[in-house]
Amino acid sequence: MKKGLSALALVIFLTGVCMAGPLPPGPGADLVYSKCQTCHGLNYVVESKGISKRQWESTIEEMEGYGLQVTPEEKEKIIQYLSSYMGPNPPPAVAEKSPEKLNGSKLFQTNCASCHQENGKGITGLFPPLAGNPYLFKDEYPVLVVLFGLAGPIKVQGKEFKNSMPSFSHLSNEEIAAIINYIRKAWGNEKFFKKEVTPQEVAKYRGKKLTEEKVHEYREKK
Amino acid sequence: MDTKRREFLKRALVTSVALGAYPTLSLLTPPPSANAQTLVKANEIIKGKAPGLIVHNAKAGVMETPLSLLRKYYHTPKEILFVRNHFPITGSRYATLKPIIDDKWTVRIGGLVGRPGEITVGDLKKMEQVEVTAVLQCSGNGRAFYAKRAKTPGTQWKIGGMGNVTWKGVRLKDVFKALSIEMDPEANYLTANGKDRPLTPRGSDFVHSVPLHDVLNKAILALEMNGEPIPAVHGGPVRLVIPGYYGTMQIKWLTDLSITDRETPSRFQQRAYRNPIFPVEPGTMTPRDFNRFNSRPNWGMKIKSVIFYPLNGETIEAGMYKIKGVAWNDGLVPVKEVYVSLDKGREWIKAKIVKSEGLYAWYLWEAEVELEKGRREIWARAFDAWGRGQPLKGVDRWNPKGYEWNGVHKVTVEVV
Repeated sequence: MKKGLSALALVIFLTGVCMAGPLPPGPGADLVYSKCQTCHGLNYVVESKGISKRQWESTIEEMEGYGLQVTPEEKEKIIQYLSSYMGPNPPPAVAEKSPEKLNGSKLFQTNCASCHQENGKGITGLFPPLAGNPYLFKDEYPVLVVLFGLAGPIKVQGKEFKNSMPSFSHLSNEEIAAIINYIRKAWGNEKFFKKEVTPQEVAKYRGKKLTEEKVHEYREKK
Repeated sequence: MDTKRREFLKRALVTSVALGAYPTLSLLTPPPSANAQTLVKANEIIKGKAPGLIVHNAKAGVMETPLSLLRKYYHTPKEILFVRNHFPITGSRYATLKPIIDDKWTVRIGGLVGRPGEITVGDLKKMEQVEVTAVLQCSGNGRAFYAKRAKTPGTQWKIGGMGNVTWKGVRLKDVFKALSIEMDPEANYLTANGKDRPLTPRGSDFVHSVPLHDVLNKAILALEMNGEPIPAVHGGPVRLVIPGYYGTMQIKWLTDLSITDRETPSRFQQRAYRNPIFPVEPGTMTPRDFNRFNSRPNWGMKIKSVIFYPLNGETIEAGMYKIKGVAWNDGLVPVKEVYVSLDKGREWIKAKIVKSEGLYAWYLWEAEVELEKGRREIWARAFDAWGRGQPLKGVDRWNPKGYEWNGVHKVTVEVV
């Protein structure tokens, strides 16, 4: 009984610590976060909780018709997650404990590349480039963007972007630090690189509780 | 955009109060902590909307009207009318009730025509206008109720994914006449597209096809809603309004009309907004199985009635009570009869239809009954002049995407 209680306490604790987003943590949840918020909020996913694997498969295929771009491996992982954690019999939520977690490059692939692309060049008119983007080095700005999202028109390298970026606050401070430090050194960005962001700094900025619009204001401030 | 996010605690408090005030809350509604986006209020997403609307998706601006608000007006005011979009609108020029004023906005007409044409909003304003009051309803309205048999993916609308509004605009057939549009006699469809575009490079655009000849008889290129220029979020400056059809077919921000001989290949027409043409068991068919022969699009609205007074879960005093509600159908023939039952369908009492602004609008009905103490279920069921009626159990019409719910409305009240 004692063992069960402390396991339960651990799950609740981990859920509280790791879950700032609406999805129960589990393998593949990060893919859902990064792939399924481009066109709509995650409430669509949450509202459909309880449908069968076959229905989730059909839904993901429908989303591909609307523009979702996933590799076959990613698709399988997403369907696996959705059909278990958002299926008729969800398992108890357990935080993912993989050793690859703090590899900045891998985290970028999983969470960011679907929009910003593997080569960091983004997509014209849709997703801004990170390669050669000077705003990556504007103090804590990139950390704020990842934590709180960004809304409002921006110009990067002379090109305009009118999209919005959702918040990735469900990522841990360690994960966010790893990603920022990766993008600050990738694709030639290393020539501007000064110093690394620490998880403690990320935690400090998380406490600021900003909005997508406030991050935009900060960006435009001279 | 002047939106403000509040701290988590404040949001949670406001949401739980708002949710508590919504009488038909059930297990089907996600809990307050479900998503930061559900905690954003309707007026923060679309400027001008009432804060009490139920937000299903903040980014796409999808929201539903609580019945307690909806029932107060015969013409649903723009502040409370439900919203549904297919692409993100937050922060865009569409996320407001203010109209888009642009007399140069152009609608192009082409496809299987002798000569394509175009017409601007400015031109339309100079032409003869007609008014039509019509029910606007999302075909997913009521989807939440299918979950009793088997849940279907999609926005879990309950009852408020609909409203009753008066449109004003130019008859589509007058536009074709003015432009001397010569259509291929074998063309069957009108395919319509609006200015909204998918966010990613490979997604389908939101395009719909409707039966050409039926639509030519009734559609208008609408410029006004409830006496003023159509609010941006509801499709202004010009919307394809097809009275009697589900909302999805009434393309917002209209830019293109095409005479075609097939339905558009857009996934929104081929994989969504379709019902099987025969009954299916949950688990045997999914939308990827849809084709032109086993399914048909959500075109004309199924007959439906909704009880406005009383609301589900209300407590009422025993004695005489006037049950009131609305009914409507696709407008091909009038709604003829509405009945209510107090004993789960054993006996039916005929209600009186008291008002309607035409074939496509809400028919207001009422029935004075004696309510006895205890927990009572009140049912309402409508029939039209063709004998089309509502199923006693809406789940019997289960379909893979949970569209076109029109089960008999059942309201439970406590009579004291």
